Amino acid sequence: MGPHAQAAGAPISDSPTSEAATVVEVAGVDCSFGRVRALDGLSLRVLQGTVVGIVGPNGAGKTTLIDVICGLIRPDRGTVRVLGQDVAVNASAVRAQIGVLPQETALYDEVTALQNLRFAAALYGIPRPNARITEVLELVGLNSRRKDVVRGFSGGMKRRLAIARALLHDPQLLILDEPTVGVDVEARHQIWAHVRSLRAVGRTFVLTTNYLDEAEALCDRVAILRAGKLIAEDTPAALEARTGRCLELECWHEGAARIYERLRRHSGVLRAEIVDFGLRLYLAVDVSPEDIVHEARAVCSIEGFRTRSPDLAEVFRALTAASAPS
Amino acid sequence: MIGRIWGMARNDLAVWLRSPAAIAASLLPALGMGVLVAVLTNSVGQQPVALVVRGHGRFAQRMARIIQGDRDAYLLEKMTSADAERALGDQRVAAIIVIPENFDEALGSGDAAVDVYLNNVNIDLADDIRRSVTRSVAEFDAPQLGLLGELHGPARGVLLPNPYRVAIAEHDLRDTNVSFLQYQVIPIVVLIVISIGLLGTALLTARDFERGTAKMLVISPGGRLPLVIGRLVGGTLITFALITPLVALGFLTRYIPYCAEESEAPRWLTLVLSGPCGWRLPVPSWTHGLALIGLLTAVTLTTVGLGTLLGVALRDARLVTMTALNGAAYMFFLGGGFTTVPFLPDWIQIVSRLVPTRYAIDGLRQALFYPDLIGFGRDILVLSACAVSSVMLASLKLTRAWRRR
Repeated sequence: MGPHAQAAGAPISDSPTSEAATVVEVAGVDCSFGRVRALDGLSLRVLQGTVVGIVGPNGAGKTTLIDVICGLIRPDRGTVRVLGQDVAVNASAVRAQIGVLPQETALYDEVTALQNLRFAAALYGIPRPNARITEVLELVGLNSRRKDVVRGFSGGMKRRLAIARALLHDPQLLILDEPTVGVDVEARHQIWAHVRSLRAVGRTFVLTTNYLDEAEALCDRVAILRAGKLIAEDTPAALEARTGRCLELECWHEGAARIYERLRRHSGVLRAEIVDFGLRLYLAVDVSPEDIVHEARAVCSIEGFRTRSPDLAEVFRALTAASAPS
Repeated sequence: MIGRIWGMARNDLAVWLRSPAAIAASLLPALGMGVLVAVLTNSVGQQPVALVVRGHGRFAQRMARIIQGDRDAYLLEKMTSADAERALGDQRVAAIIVIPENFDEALGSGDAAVDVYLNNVNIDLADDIRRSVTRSVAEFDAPQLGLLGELHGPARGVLLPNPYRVAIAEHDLRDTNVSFLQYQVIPIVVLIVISIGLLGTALLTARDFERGTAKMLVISPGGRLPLVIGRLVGGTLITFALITPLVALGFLTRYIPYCAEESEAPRWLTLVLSGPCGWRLPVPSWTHGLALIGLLTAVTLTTVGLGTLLGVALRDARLVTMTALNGAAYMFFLGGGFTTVPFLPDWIQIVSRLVPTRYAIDGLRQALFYPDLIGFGRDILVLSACAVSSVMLASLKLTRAWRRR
């Protein structure tokens, strides 16, 4: 079974919160802009209390998927239900229960953090919002800067303020569109800490990211998109297992080419690539690395070898390469 | 719904008031135009002229006092002959008026003359000086036909028998009490309203697209209509927040005069019209006060709608700024900003019928200067129609633009 068939509409049986309610259910959604098909038969479920990461190259359809979930774009085909409500039928009620951190942060730089949050409170109809504003500013560590103009904030502080705004109306679902893009490492880890603490109290997250380490660090499940299609959706560990164990051989370049020619049709080798130190092979789980090393030594001299689990970046490359249009 | 509308409007006002560059961009061209009008008015209306009084007799001194009293025509400076010749040579004065040493003696023999030395190629400016000297001489000979007669009318000024065979019987249909500068302040007020309304709303709308806040707005529950109304209310508040103190200052300094005769309006209306400094002003006429507020509201709504359309169409702060300021300048000129429309060439008169500024300037002059409000009905009707269509079109376009982003 290929990864696409496995992901689309498949039950999420191995989640630690499999008994939890479904918060987002996207079923068979198609969405086109002119000739460009932004989403192509996409299905996805997000369970309560989980963090689901949407990863994919630029133009894969990540932001379109978020817009569809928020009811900003009506799909050509398929249904989207959020917290049990059809987004197409009751978009306004759905939006009242979603907190969104847009990719651009979308803050008013000219006014203070407090004024930004007061405006958001007015938009969401929060009566007497001062206590709640203080609460969310405390949560993201910006209460002492509440009267400062946002223009003077760093990128990380702006992101944290935008998270505070997304939390202001106490939504059940938080959607973060590339939450750490353009921020430094420290701010990135602060944002991760906020996401983890909120997940711990039962919030549900859908986040898009281009950073696979972020998806690996934060997400219970990762959905990989390419050209509007969901090509895989699973836990990070399961996705890594699907790519196979990684075997790296150290040898001369000519030798690496000869081993590559010999092993690339081997049934136990899922993928092979020549790298600067020699050769990198991804092996099926039932293949012994020692057997492969033995076969390689028959071709040329091997200076050393090691095995390790692939990271999510390698999984992503493997899956997107496999599904790339020929 | 009301909370969302007010929230949006209040946020727009807060953002705008914290945008000093944008405020400067909208105010400076209009204020610069105001300074230009004031300087041109002064330089065209009053010439720097040197007065040399060589005669020491009683009549020579009286002639000098009459010339010095004519402040409408000259920027007069009394000088010695040498200084005056030097100033004329350096082109620091346009003319020298000399009252000769033997003025009193010559007057007895009917040969008295005031010498005028002109150093000006411009026929209009030279004629202004000629007419003013003639007026001073006429006042010397027959005060009822001189400056006093001009200011107070012949009936009250006739103290002496008319030395001429023909008198001038002037019938003023309205008080001629508005100076050219006061007359020209009105288009500047309109230009400021246009610049702020157009640029303010256009910038707020364009920036929403640039920084992604448009997405945040439409993601919020409750639909787009309250937000669109809030944007239009916000643009109106921005315009009023900046124009009210300027108009109040205009009232206080008397650069903007208004009809106050036989007024029965209460003091609070004066305060509404001119702010806390209104206690120093005469009470305005009810009808004219309401006409002024109605007209400014209609112009503001028209420009706020147009600004929203501009912001939706361009979605770029720099493009919006350039286009809004140029648009405001064209609306100013085509609406008769520099002079009265009927004095302009035919083709401009035809074009100006399509420009709301024309009706705004005409209407404001009616509301402020003329006691009878003739023609005001047409002006307010056209402007109200412009305001309604501009606001409706802007609402429609903004709603659609936010849907598509």
